[in-house]
Amino acid sequence: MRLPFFRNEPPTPYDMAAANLSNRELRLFLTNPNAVVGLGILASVALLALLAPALYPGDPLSVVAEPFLWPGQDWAYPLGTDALGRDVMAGALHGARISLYVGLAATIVGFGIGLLVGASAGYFGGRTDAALVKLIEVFQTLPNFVLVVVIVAVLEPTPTVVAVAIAIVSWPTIARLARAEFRSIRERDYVTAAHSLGCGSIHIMGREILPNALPPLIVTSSIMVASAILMESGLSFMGLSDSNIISWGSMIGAGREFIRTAWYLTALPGIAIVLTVLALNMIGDGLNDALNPRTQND
Amino acid sequence: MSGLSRILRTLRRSTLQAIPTAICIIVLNFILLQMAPGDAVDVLAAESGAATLEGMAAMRERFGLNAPVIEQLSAYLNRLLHLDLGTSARFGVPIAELIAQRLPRTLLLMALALGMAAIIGVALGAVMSSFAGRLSDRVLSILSLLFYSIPNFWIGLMLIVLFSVKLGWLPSGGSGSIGMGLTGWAALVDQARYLVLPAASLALYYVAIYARLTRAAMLEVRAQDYVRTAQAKGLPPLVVNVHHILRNALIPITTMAGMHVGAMLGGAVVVETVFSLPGLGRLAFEAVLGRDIQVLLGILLLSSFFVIVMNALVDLLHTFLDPKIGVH
Amino acid sequence: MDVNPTAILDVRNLTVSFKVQGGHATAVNRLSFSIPAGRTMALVGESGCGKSTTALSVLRLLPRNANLKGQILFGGQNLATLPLNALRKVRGHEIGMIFQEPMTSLNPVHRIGRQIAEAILYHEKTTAEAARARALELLRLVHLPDPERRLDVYPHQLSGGQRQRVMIAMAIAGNPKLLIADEPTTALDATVQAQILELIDELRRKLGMAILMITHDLGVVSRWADEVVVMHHGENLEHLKAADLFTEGRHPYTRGLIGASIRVSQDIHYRTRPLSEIRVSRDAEGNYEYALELPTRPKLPPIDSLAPPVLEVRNLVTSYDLAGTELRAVDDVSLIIRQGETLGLVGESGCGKSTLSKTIMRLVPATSGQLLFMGRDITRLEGRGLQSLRANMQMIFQDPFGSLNPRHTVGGILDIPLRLHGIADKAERRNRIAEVIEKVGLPAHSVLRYPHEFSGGQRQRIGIARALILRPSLVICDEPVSALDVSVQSQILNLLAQLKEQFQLSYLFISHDLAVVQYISDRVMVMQSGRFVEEGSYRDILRNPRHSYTRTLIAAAEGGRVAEAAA
Repeated sequence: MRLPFFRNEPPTPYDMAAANLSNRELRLFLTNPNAVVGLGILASVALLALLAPALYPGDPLSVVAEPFLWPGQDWAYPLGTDALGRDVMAGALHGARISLYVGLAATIVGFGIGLLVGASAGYFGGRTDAALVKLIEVFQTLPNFVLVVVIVAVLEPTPTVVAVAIAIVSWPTIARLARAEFRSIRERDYVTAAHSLGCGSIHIMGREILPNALPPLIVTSSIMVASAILMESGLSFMGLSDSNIISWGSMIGAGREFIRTAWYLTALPGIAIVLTVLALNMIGDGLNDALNPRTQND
Repeated sequence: MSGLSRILRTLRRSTLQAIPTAICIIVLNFILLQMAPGDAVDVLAAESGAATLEGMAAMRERFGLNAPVIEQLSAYLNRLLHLDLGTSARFGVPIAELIAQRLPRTLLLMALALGMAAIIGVALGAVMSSFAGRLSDRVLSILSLLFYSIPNFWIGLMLIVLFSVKLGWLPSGGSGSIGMGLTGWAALVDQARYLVLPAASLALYYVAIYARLTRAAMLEVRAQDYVRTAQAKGLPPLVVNVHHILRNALIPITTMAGMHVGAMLGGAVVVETVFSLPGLGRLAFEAVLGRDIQVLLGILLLSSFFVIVMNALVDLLHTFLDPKIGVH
Repeated sequence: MDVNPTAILDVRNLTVSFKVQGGHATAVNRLSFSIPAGRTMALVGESGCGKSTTALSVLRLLPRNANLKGQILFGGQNLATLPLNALRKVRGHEIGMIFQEPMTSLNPVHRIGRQIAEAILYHEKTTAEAARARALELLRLVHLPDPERRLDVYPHQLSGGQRQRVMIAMAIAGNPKLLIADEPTTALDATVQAQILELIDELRRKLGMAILMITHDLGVVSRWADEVVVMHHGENLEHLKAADLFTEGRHPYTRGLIGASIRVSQDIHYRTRPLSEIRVSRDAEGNYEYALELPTRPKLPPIDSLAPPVLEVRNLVTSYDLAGTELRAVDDVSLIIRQGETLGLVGESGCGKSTLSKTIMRLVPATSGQLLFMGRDITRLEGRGLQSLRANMQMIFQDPFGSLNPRHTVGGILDIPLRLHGIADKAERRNRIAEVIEKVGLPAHSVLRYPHEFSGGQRQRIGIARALILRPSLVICDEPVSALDVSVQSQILNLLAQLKEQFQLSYLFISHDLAVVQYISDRVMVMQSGRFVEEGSYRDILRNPRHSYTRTLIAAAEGGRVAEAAA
């Protein structure tokens, strides 16, 4: 809601953004149907991923039944078996672990680098800013996915390397955003007031600016997890993954050869990816509505 | 303030900004090249299985892989100045030549996808913003969120299942019917049939992005005072929406669209792999399989320069869209 | 219901409410008034009183969540229920409208000429050449200098006053019978304000329009309007002849507004007379009650002109580097503030007054010159010395919404400076916070609240508390009441006077508003383009202005005729 024609009385959008995080924003977030559905899906995926070793102990890459069982054909293998007779369900659950691990690890590392670079650039300005902006620009110019492919090809395709490679290409998004927020909040009167009270840079960056800069960064980070999962699946689809660890992308890559006869081998892991990524994007939208009321519609 | 001087100023600024970026990218490329464990010679040797140590050393000498790092960097820069990206150890062909062969197909695919995504996405976004908060907006919002969540290689495969395997309408891969001696219009249609599915798979994600961007940008502009001025003048809704709202929203939309060019190139890599299109992406895929890092780095370098050029074009477009740019 | 035959606009029982979370908020409540042809009617009131909502209701420009009831009769039609496509023929053609913010009310990507011609083309179905010729004619009519060339410029190439002239040209393009002006000069400097108001009045006479003027400024009303409706919480409290506003206003709220607003022609001063304050409350049935209150006069000792100065500024220069050229925001400025004195600094936007205050506060480095605080050179002070200076010199800001960190509680905001300045004992900090909270007139439980839970005036009190908690001897007030309504302004000015007594403060009071500066200051300095052009006691500067710029400011503040410069 916006009441743009009053001056003082009803809260301005800026005020609304200013409400303390714990109560109002959380309530807004949890009453958003998109966000709740997204949270539900993500929680289920995470639970299944955690339970995978218990539900399907042993190597999901081992052959357990006859090949090309269609989903529902044999209820011992609800999602069927692949060309070698491996259980698709076991693969899907174990694959969730890799997707979530890479998504989270890449985002945490990328967020850390991005915040550090963006906050320093935005707060200190001047030459520091110019140099860091150039760095951000270089990384934004390099095509993300191609760079990830090169890094993973140069090093080795373990999940951690993949996560770090994705972090290396995704930190500039956070850095740009953090820089913009720090730059604009730096000019607010309450920061000037803090300076005039004698507060130091660390206090001002951490206590005065960061809490106000955080909401858009949080929104972006949930979308970063989603795009990291998409990138990881693309890499493992292209064969750039550890061949001893099953992942959704590699399942699609393997099923691709039998697309004319057994298309479910391609479809099922893809649906798992879409659901997980969709859930994260829905959460991101919900967070955006709750934390940045400026972008809400009337 | 003449239009020409603004354009020249923008061009000069873009060029000045691009030079350090380009240098940084070249150095980064070189560092990645140095980091690679083993080299193309190792791969070749492993593949042939019969190479002797002397033979490998000779090959390294030939490819200049034994010199000190600084010398290699200067040699690398020197070669780049002559547009020489080196010779692919695997294909035995100059890399620049390899890329030049594959580039047009990728550019065509990207141009098609970008055009589709921009037209459909902006139209959808405009509709969504006009009906913000209502049912049609909500449905389209969910739909765009879904498009935004689908991996492009997977939707490509699903489109193949539907349109090639089940319906048999469109080819599942390749770049044209071979040996039918098609010419003129027929050849063009034939080519287009092979590009429909790849372009659609690549475009889908960007349709979602542009739709969401357009919606947000138009809602933002809609709240501006000058839109109220336009309404107070008694202008009809279509004029207000197109001349005042969309026209201003184009500025942030094109900025973001420019930033996505690099990502779209990455998407093209995967989509070409799915549809066996002989483009840059397919080349990258083959290079990955053969661990031919030189070729990969050549592609990375070239695609980075492509992004730089696209960014300059977006800057130029902005001088037309935003009268405040280029004046000081 | 009889129809008033001479009324051009007749508003009857207008009620506007907004759908908000958990119910409806009424912005305008059963409001009725009418405007005779060719006359100026003013709606006056403070923020949130519904005056702007009323103006937007006439052309139905309200947001989608608004609900409108009642009648808006214009030219035999009821605009409240008229179908949108018929209403569009009225908008911009029979009724023109101008808005408060000339900087954002013009589309930044289209040329001026095109924006004016657009409406003409749509309403009159003429050729593009004819519409352009008409646009040129309109620019001449609003006295925009060099109109031929200005047709082809973009809004960002014009000043605020020039843009408002373009807005007016656009609004009168269809020879409207009614012009709605929603705070048309609030965003402009005083000298420009007077010119724009004069232009609107000139056009009213030339074109025979009626004007609906929305304003918060009683001076504007009495000078430029024929009739006035005083509004509060969406209701019409009193309808008066504008000329009688100051003498005949009967409603306690009107009397309160008059008592709270300061005009340059009044001879009042903070040392002799506090401003009256309006107390608005609601009884058990929700009815509004208005009361007037006159606080006690603070007992202030006279200024000892022999005492050493608290602050002395000698030949101060502060310059910025703007694309290689040196821009002197503060250009060779010297001043002295004595113990217990309030030095007023008046100037228009961009004159360098904010840069001056930041340089004195040591937030921006001085390029040259000297700053002496209590006789000690502080120009290049660093480290511990600077830290102890911070405790002695504090600042109050203009924007009560932007000057408090929204993520900290009020207690947290006040606790930070105490901890920073080495007060380790928690109980002592708590006592000092409670003390200062009480001194600035806030309830004790405020410490646990967040800034967004307070009104603008209360937030300004929090800002004052933050400035005073370290017990400084000099406080720099940078436009502390400019963002506030008059009733809140009078409370804050009274508070500043009281605190001066309680804390033995000296003030540097910066404002664009000559009347406010004159009221609150002992001595006044006038600043223009980074330099002081005149200095004198608060009485002298008004009675015997020597510099022509000072005379222009005074004339503008009186709402009188200002020499027609290119605004």
